[in-house]
Amino acid sequence: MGSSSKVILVGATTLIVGAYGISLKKAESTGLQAAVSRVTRVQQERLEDAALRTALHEFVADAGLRDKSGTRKGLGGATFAYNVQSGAAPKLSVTITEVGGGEVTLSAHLRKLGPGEEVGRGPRKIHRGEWIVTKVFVKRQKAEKNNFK
Amino acid sequence: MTIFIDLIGSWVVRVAMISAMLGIMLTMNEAVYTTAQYANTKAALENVTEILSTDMNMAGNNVSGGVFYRINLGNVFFLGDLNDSGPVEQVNYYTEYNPRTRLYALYRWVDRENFGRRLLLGKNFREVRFEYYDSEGVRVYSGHERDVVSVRVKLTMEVSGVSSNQGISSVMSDVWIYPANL
Repeated sequence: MGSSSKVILVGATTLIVGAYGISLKKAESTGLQAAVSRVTRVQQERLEDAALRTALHEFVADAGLRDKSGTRKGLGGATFAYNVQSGAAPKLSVTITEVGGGEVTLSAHLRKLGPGEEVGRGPRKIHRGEWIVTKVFVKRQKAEKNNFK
Repeated sequence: MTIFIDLIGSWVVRVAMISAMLGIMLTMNEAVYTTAQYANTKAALENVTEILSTDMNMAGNNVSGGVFYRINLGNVFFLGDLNDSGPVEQVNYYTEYNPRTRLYALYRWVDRENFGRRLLLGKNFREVRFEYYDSEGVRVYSGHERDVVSVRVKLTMEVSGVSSNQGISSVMSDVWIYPANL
């Protein structure tokens, strides 16, 4: 076997192994994305709850008599802006802007508990003092990407 | 004589090297195929989980009465305004067993009783299991639907084209969903 043949053989083997290596890496990254997507979903839920709690806290601090709005920096550098409209049926909206541009909009209703009324017992039930969040609707845009760093 | 031995030796070396190359190609090809199938199944399962948890997170939205009903391990009905438009949707996830493949198909059916459209989420599930829990973490069974505040969803999907002796032949997802409106 000539030395040129050996070079060709070694080169071809390296090329084949390299090409398969790249394919393997691509396949593994698809699996990794699926795992990251799950973590992102849980993080988003936590951030949504935290944003609602913060907004409710600010609203209740003034006895629920005034409109409230503000911004905060949340988990992983995401920011959220909240706005509470007071009145007979107070409404709360929160916009979470994730790192990378994804946006989550929450709209919720607030209600004051009646005498002797208890807060619901769901693990994600949000309340502060006599006020509870009665409904939450979540709208996600570009949420499929992992925008948390 | 020495020339013949040299020639034979060089042929043996060539054949050995080409065999080794072919062996590497075959092994790598199988590894890529198995890994790709596994990753694609994992991604498909994650998509199903995402659809399911997005729907279930809206369980109870704009609903004044009971939310879950007719619950069992392979079937769940719940009410919720999925798009916050006002009217409440009836959402049903259910399975159909295929005795030929011995696998389950999972369907999502919105407004089933009003002949709404159903969506096939996947047809190669080895296991689809819905477990229901109350606020104290105690399992809830049919008849006590009003106590449900969280759902544990266990899904096991078969990796098609991969047998158990080739690698991991199934992907499992085990998620707890806590709807915000319950």
